[in-house]
Amino acid sequence: MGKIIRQFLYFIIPIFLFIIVWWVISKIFHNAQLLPDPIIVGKTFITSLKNGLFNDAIASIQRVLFGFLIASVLGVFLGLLCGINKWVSRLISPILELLRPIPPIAWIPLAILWFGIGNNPAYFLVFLGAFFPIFSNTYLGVSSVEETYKRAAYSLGATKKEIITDIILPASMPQIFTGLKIGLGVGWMVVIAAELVGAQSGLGYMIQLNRFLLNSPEIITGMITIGVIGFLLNLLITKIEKMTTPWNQKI
Amino acid sequence: MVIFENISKSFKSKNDNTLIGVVDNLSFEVEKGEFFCIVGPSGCGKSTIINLIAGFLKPENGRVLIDDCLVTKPSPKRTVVFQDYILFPWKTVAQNIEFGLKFKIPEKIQRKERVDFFLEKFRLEKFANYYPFEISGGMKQKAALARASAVEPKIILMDEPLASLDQQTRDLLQEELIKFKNEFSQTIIFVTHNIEEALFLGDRILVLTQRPAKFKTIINNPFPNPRNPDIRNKTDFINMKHKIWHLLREEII
Repeated sequence: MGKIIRQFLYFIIPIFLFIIVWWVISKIFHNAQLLPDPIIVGKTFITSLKNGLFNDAIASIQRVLFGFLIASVLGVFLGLLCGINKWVSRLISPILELLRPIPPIAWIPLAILWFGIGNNPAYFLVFLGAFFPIFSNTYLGVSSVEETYKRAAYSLGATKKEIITDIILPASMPQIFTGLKIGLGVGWMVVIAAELVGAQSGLGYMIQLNRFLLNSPEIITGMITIGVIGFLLNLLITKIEKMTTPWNQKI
Repeated sequence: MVIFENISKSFKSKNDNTLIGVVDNLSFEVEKGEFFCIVGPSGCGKSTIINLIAGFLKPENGRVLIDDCLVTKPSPKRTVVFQDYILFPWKTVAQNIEFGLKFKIPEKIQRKERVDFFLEKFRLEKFANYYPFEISGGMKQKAALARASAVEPKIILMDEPLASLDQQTRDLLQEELIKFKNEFSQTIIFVTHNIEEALFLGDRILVLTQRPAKFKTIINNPFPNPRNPDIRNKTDFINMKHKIWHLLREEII
């Protein structure tokens, strides 16, 4: 029990210090438009919660999770396929290698053209952002499975099918999770960017709206919410990782 | 019976693509039920011999026959115990032992009985639900041996299985291996660089030359099975050890 309290303190004390520094700087600036002090933002946060912040957060989370889910299924599937079959890899790797450097944000104009305004362009952009890290890491994981594990399995009577389900897939699980974590992080950034221009709800939209109204406390409230949710999403996926691969000592 | 017939094997060098001979026209035969040890200088190609018999590698010349059948690919009739255990880290000890049985025994209940039997045989019951990273090296190797024997192979191939263990654990596991062998009477082909180990375990000992591995000599173990652990300190045993060591020395120097 003492350990949990200690960890909590280790976490909360630096944040508390950060808020104090923020408060001091805001007093030096003395301009509530440029940098409102933490107390104003705190009050704004509470009123925002009553006025739709919750709905905006839900809209963003829903978008990121849906886009991420599709990216996970397709990324893991294609990564496995490429890692197992060199012909598939030869066929699609060059295409993906050229598409990968294009930042998802550069897709925003096309996404809006193709899908209009709302959820669909956001799903598409989150998918693009999350897919590549998931695909690359799965591919890397599958291609670096040690040959001796496969040998051991073959000599115990396994067929190609069990080599994939019982050896290759679990052996690449840690690397797949690395991809999923990066993918979810990128997806969360992308959904906010997408909402800045192509949506009428969500945390990105809320920030953008308040920019026009010059409401700095609301903007910072939105930013804090984005940070906290991003942090919680990462916590959630790390939890799932621990449950899925309890044998992995590195987590 | 295992017939290893006129086998040569070489590998391409990573630097300049030249061929490096690893095994050179080597032949030997292993009788059914024999504990057959192979010793040779470090890096002489002993592991390659195991990989050839297991069917992981194909020879350039010669062939491996087991009970008159040509070895072309791995088979659960001959399982392998590796130096680094190669237990599947994502499976518990029990699941590791169960892995090979899945292909033999479809019924879950019968399979579990079999797993339990082998857990008990190797005194691993307490560790059944542990992952490999949670147990000691000696335990890991016992689990690997249990996994390899659970599918009831005709032959178990052992590639320096005790080399990563400390002296005490190694001595104890050697004694367990003797007991295991006398109870299950499978054919065991055991590769080691440790002469004492070969002399303690093997019914016959094949001595190899420096790489590429060629036949040097075969020694019939003069000490009758079952060998008592104390034999390691007897003068005869130590003299015999020295004799083999001198054979290897010629190769290394």
